[in-house]
Amino acid sequence: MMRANFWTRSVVAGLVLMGTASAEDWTSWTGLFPAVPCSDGWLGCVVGGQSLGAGAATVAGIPAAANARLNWWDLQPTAALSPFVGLSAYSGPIGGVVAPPPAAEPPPAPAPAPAPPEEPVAQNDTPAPAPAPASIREPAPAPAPSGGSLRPAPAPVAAAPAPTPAPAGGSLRPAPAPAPSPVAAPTPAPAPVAVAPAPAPAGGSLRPSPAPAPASVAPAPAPTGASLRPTNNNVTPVSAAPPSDSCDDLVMLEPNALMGQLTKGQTSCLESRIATEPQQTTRDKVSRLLINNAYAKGDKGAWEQLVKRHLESIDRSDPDMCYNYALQLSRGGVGRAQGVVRWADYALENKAKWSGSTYKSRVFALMKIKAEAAMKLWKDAEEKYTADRSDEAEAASNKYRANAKEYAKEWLDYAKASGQDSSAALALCVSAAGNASYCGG
Amino acid sequence: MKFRALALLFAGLLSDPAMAAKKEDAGVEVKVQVVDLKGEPIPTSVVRHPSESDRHRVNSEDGTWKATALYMPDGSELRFTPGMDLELEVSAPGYKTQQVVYQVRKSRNVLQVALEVIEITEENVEEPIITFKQDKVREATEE
Repeated sequence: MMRANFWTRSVVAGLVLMGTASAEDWTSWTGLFPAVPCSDGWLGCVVGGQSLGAGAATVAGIPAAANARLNWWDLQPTAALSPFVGLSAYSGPIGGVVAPPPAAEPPPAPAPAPAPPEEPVAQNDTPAPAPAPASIREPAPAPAPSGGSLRPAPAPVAAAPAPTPAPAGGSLRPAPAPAPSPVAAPTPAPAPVAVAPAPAPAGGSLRPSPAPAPASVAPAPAPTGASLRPTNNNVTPVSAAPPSDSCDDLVMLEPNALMGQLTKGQTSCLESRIATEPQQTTRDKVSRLLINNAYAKGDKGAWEQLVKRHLESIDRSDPDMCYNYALQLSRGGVGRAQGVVRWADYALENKAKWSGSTYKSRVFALMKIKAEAAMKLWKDAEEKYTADRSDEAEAASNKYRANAKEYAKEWLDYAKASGQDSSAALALCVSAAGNASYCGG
Repeated sequence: MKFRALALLFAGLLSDPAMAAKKEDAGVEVKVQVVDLKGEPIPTSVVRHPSESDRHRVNSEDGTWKATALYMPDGSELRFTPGMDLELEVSAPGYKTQQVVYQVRKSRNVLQVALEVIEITEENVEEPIITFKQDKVREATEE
């Protein structure tokens, strides 16, 4: 009985596993191959020196969808993080680059060109040559076939085979383009190879020139033996140039700064630029790049230092920056409370740059953190006075208490006037004042 | 035992009537102990009457304050007498001020006041983005 149960269970388990295994096929992995991986809507792009394409990207050795903005495994930003990037800049030469010839050079396939409409000769296997100049020059006289017509030999190429003899009655035809294989079927170049359109032959019809090549392939000259290799259908990937350490173009650095991906060289360049730049406005912009970079990297310590330097020595008229800095300081202890009051005051000096609900919420927040900081200072002074009953300690305690009372009253008045919650402000005010009558309670 | 009782009776008979009268005028001692919600004394707290301008600090060791009378700004004296309702404001930095009304008894007036911390919640404050402050392209003006 037990043996039967064991076998039954094994069979059932095997069926379940088989079902599970067969349920997966390639369609289960379509998410790994996004159609449009780039934020700018293109199929391929270069972001911060990293190429993105439609295939799966590899992050830390693990395949991931190329359009994933955050790495699944460590939640770090990927190259596709920012949706605000513009078109990727192209750094190669206009018209593309001619691919270097390989070591063993097979006979290149000619560009596909339609047969001339007035071609009287029956089609043979010879691929349609590109139009040649009127004066046809045969590189080497081929032996005359039995039909008596003279047919030019193909252009001399190292491995070019002998051309097939023309059929009886064959007429003179222009020299073919770079040594085609006479018997080989015309190999259509998947990507059209740029060939400079030659002038129409005398007496012949004008053959339409091949389609212009994409930018990745340089326009080949008239068939003079230049070896143009057909490329595949996909766009030839542009090899991502390593990011330069130059910091001349600040606008170009903005996307990287937004993602926290400025290189060390770029950061050093920007730092030296701050030290040497004579124009204040430029120093402002450079400093903002560094600040945004530190913020995006999550380096709060560096961000704080950079903001402090910006506010102390560059410009303190930006209320947003003062507000952010005061907010950051308010999260610290009593040692930072003086800074909170100071930078909150600077932000409030320029609060006119805000408007609407932004104005209301930020002014409220600034007054709140200012009152809280004053309360922390007063509490600290009181504790010091409790330990040391000196006149100086008492004077300090009274001073900070007066500040706490004043800032709390300001906060309370603004909260009431703007229709926001005033309970905390009232509690602070009454605590500092010692009675509710001062606070209008 | 008998001797002791007789000695006490004798001392009472011989006590100074003036002293007795002074004792009655002095007021009843009221002791206030200020603690937090955990029962720990708050050494930085103060006690005052609503009409008073002075703030009386508590003992930094045990958080207590005691008195038999208070002196008002107009120079009058508020003596604590049994049966009176004594109003007091108790506050400390960072704590919610409490107003208490205590009925004074003839003796053993010990009042414990627990203060609550002022909790200011950290709301979800949005942090503005620091812009790059790029120059705006000016349009060419015709002169």
